[in-house]
Amino acid sequence: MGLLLGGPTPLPMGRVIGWELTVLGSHGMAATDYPELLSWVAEGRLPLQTLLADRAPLSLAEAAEALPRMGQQAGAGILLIDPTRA
Amino acid sequence: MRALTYERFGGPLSVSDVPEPELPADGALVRVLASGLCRSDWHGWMGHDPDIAVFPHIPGHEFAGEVVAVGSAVSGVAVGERVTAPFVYACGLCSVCRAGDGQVCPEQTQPGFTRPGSFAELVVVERAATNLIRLPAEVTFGQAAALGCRMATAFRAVVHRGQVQPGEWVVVFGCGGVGLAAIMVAAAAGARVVAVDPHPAARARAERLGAMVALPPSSDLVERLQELTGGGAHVALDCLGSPEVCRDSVLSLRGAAGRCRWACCSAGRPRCRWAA
Repeated sequence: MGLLLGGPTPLPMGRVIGWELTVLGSHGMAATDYPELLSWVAEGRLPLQTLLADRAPLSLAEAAEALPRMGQQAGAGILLIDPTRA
Repeated sequence: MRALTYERFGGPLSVSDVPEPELPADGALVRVLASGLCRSDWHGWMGHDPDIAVFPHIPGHEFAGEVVAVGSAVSGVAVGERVTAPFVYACGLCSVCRAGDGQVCPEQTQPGFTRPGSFAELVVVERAATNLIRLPAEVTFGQAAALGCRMATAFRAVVHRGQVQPGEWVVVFGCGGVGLAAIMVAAAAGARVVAVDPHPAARARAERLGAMVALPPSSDLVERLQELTGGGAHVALDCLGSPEVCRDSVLSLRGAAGRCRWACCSAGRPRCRWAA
């Protein structure tokens, strides 16, 4: 699920075989599977608010300033952009 | 329309008027009302993504908004509908899509990467019949945009791929965007969640979102995880994407004496590196 950059990655396959583990990839989700996720959100099972940064949505100009800083930011919460804001 | 663009990797980001996107016959034009800013957008700007090849480029791949126009070949979609879309636009036609796996469609396009994205007033959703997702009335545009790549990726990994059951132990490596989302989903699914991250702030956040305990990496991490989970996790999730974490996620799992165990690592065509 985290993406591996830079070529093949060695795994302890002896353990995978000996303990009969299963290794799975996961990459996004098809549109047809979204209604289940959205129903969890609608039912309040996923408190998304707690993932959001504690600030108003950015304008496009503010987003232009924020994007280059995304490489170093950690744990500050999700930033939303509202393109209709001047 | 107004859009955020750049002319070259690592170059200046500017907001300017650009031509409105052309609406394909099978597409929909969406007025963007919320868009998530994701670490993948930064990777794209840095030039880490070979799919970005047309400039000026408009980033942005997590959005929600209202349909303002539909192509001539699209039926069943009305102007004004509240919608979102996956960050992978599937073709809807190939054998992979017909099997229900549009998230890995070999013919996929991606807003903000292979085509103009959502840091703009308008964005095109290609193959609207396949890729438009209607929002329930209870879900706000902001919530839908915040789902973005991280929550969809985490939900599929935990619920569909990992098949996490109530009471099971889940170890989440990396508490960035997708890791925190995975913690939230796993906790909501009733799992006992252990988080691993080197940053104290990220660990604190992980515990607020439902992790029972959050550990920093250490030389005896695997042994601690095996002990903490009473013999290993049922599911381990690599939400960082490093060879060391891949190894540790495998080694933190319990053996298959009782039932299947899983580790989710990246595979296929990478895109959402771990979102911020």
